[in-house]
Amino acid sequence: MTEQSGWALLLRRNLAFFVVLVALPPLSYLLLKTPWFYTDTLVTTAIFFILVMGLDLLYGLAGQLSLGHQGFFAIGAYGVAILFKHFGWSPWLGALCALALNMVLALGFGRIVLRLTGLYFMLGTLALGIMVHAIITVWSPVTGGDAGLGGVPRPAFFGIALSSQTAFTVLVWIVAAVLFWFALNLSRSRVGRALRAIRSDEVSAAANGIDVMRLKANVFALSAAYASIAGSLFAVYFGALHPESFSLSALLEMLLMLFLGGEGSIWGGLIGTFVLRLLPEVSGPLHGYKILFSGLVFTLILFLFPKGLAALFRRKKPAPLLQTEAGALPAAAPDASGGLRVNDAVRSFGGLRALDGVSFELASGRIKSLIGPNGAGKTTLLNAISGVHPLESGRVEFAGRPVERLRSDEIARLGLRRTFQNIRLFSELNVVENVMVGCDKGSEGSLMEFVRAALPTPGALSRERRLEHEARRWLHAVRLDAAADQPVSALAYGHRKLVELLRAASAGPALLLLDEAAAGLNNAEKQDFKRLIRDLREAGTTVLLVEHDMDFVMDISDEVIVVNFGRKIADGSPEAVRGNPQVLEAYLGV
Amino acid sequence: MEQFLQVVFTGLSQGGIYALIALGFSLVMMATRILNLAHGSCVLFGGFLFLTFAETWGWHAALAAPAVLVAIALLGFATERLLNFRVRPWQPVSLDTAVLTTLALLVLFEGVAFLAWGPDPRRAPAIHPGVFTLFGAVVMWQAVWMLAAALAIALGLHFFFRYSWSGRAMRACAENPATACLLGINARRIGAAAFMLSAAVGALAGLLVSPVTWIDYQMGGFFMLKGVLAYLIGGEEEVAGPLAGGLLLGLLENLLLLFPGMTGGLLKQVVPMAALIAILVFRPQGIFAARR
Repeated sequence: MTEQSGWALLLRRNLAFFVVLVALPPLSYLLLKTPWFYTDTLVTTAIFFILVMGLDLLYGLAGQLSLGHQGFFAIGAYGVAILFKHFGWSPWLGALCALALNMVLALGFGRIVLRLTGLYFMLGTLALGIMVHAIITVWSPVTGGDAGLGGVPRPAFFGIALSSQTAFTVLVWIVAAVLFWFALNLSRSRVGRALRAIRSDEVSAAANGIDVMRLKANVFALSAAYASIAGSLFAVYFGALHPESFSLSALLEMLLMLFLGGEGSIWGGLIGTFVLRLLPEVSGPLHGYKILFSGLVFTLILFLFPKGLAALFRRKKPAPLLQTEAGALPAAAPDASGGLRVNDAVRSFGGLRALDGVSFELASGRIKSLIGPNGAGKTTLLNAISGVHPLESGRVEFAGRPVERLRSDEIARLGLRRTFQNIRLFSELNVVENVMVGCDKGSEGSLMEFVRAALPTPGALSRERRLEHEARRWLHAVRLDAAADQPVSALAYGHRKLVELLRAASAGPALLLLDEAAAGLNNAEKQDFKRLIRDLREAGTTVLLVEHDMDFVMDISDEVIVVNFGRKIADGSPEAVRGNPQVLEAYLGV
Repeated sequence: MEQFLQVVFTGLSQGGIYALIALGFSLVMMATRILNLAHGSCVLFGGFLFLTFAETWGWHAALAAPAVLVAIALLGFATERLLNFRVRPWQPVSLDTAVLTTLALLVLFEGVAFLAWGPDPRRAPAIHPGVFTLFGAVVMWQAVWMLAAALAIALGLHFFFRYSWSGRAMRACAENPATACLLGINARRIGAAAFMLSAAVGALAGLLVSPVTWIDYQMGGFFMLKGVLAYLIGGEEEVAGPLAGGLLLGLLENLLLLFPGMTGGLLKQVVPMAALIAILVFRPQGIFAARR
């Protein structure tokens, strides 16, 4: 694979965008000749496209279905109108204020409702949307109430008069195109990958160093910003607002546009919006059937094309060549020391004490096995160390600092990675992208990361290229490169287990926790796993693994710790543990 | 004082309607873990169908009302079939799909209502016209029926869940559908029954409320919201939760209207929604339910 320069990548990836930019002047000349009727459709298409892109960033990437976006849309529109009507501010200034208000609201409200999952998040946002609609309907002295609010002018935009339809159409489409470019970049960037990981599995995303809450809050705010911009343009274009445009039906229309086009693709929204804005124009006499028709289309789309019209255009990836020869493992020495010290760990579930004061130490660079009968507290201990379910009391020290109060993504970014007993790969990402999440070493999800992802520099793009290259080398090392572009669901059980191990190992962790490391693997695969774990240790990684296969454990471990009923009953070299009478009793009942 | 009493009576009768709708949500949620957002349409269609049967076709109320309940129960059955059309019994329909599909159905039914009953608000004939005075407050007989229906249905459902086999099976499905299946309970049939029962209860709410508030084709969403709100306030107790939540919501809304002028209207709209967000965050199991 040749290293391409970042600039070339930047040009190639955005070729379509530059073509549109060049084609815009002749297109706008053509627009001058079109009847008013169609330019109206064009403007509303662009406005709703912006709105739907916002929804798609939130649902298509992060999997959070907001039922309150008509509220952000309304604030964007009414912000402009109210600030003009009561304070005489220019609509562009008003749009900026509404944008700021929306983002602050979304960040604050997001902090609260994003803690809720699934249905409750949807209902929380639904309540927000209804609340905004109620306020603009009832608070008539400020919002005009049911009668609406009119008289918003269409001022010049940096000296360009927008009084003509054409000028405004061009402006709206330029704004839409720029926002489209941002959204598309974002969805292809590492931030987009992290968001898809969150959509697939939040626990596993956090265990891979992704700050789930922060990313969700920021993408929620970003999506509110898109809605706000759409609302402000809506206000300036129509000059008059009515609460009807921001009711529950507005939400349903946006959702229909999103799902008709296809969620998760960003550009699918354009198809959905265009179809739904154009239809009422061509179906004039059938107007009475409009609602029925939308409902029918919405229902059918969900049943027949759950991925929307965009799925019809998706390219099929060519079948890859089979690869037989394994490459070298690209493991690198970790930055931190993987030493681990657990002190008096306690955790109970109801009346059951799953961990009852376990203490042990693991020196850097060693392989330790954690064994014990079913229900002994092994997984609970791994969950406590990795921050998935924190301890009630006790201390965990990793890389020389206490970590028992840290979230699991914070611990992961300190250099700890783990696998799960029931494999938790990211189903929204393909095999190589799953490993790329590992190579990327987590994401703090700051707003700066979002900006960098939306405006890719050549440096960022070549870094992304390097990541992919590295992930492919990892896959090559275990002879999985043929499966690199497959969805993870297409892999066999053993291969999925292997990919999860690679995802964890490719982050170059100082400490690697493996839950049921070799469970369910056949003998050949077990040998592969053993080789991999040994290679990782050679590179400097410390390993703590849970396993039931005693041959595997005795062969690979430098030391073994045995727990039963939440207590440690033995700790030492494999030979010493094998002869320990208490261990024999726990295992054989003698 | 009289004004206060008047508000309490109005609040309780409206609360009765909210409680009936919320009971419908509760039934379906319990048996299938689906929040059926199209339930608002069952309420709306209940009102409209009663209007057609009792007024346009001139049937007697005693014939029209059961006919409406049966018809809407069939609509509920159709909803369930559609939702689980592609689903295998051991793999329930996903949350996102259920929410989106029921939202889509809400729009579809709105379109049907628009075509069938037109754009203007209408009202069905009252099953018990007239008013009477109680402690100086004027009370509509229809309002008494609204509250009485809510109490009666709640009581009936309570006994149904405690003492009948199907009721217990429904509770078993709520607890753990897979285990219920293994014990020989046909979870799908139970789910379909819950949808039908829920739709019929919703239709009852619709035919009782339409003479008082008037209804138009867009009100499915309104009924849905009020029902969801009442259901979440009450929490996931099978009967007591929705009943208490509905009555509380009705009272709260009407008491807030005591604030003069626009403030009252604004508070009535905003406070319940803010309460919903607060409940979701701090007590997702509802304010009446015991902490699990």
